[in-house]
Amino acid sequence: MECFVGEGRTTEREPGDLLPLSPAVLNILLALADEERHGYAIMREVEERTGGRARMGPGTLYGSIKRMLAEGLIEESDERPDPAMDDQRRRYYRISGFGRQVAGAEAERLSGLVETARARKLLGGRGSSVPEGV
Amino acid sequence: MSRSGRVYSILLLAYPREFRRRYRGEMEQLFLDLYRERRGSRSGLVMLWIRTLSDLVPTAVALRIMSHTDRREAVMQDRRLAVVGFVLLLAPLYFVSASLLKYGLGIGFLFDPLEAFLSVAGRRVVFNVVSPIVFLGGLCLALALNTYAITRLNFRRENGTIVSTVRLKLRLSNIAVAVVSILLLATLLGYVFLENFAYRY
Repeated sequence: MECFVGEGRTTEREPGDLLPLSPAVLNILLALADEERHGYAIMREVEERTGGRARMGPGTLYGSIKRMLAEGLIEESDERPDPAMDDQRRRYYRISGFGRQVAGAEAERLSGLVETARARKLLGGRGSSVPEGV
Repeated sequence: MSRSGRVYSILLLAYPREFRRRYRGEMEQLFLDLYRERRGSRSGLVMLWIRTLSDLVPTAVALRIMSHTDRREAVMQDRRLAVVGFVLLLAPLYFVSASLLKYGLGIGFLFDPLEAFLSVAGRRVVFNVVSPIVFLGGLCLALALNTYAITRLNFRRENGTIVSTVRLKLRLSNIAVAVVSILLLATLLGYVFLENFAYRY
């Protein structure tokens, strides 16, 4: 656990204040929604879930992680699933309570957009298309 | 480490120092994982390098711009704290300087107007009640704000042990305000002690 005094100046924020999220940030939140993961595991999960359509390089991944830690969307985890098998350089991340709220708010927002697109007959069939990068 | 890993390590110098200090190890490990995945095929390695470089260039530029902006904002914030601290110092600085000049050197151009102002009935009572709060409170606040501006505390857990680090930033204006606050506090507290607790014949 890291606690910054001075650098992490937190203020009261609503989840909607951070919307819309970038595809990279949303993908990382989705990857961490069910379990703690390190950088490589996040990257793999995103690629597998999106069938390779959303890909992040190390710079995009850790640049996003840096911002997400500062925004309080994710936290660094103290625990390592198996310290003996793991490289010391790996760090594990988990979604925070606020991050979960923000991801939920973004999902609601996207869902509203999809509903609008469907109502205006921009979507062919039921769930026929997923926004790029999500 | 493979030659690709070593080259990647060097390329990480493109990122800002703060970012490298925090994420270098993780990024090298991630690249190593991706390299292990693809080292069986030459085309896989070429793709890895294309993807890595096309990610590295824009993210390094963006992070450098952000880092520069963050640094500038931090400097502006520290300057604002120095200005607030300086304003808080004005009243006690005037009082201490006026008193020292008057009773130390016999120069009264600062103290005499104050004395004249306080000679009006009722003002001295108000001054005696308000001045300790304004002087000591203002000095403590100025000291706290400017100590906050130059100090960064960081607590983290490493292998089950809590490690704390203290970093001091070299911000001359904040350091000057903090030092003057300490000197004025020491002078005022010394004066209070001598006035109230010193042995009198």
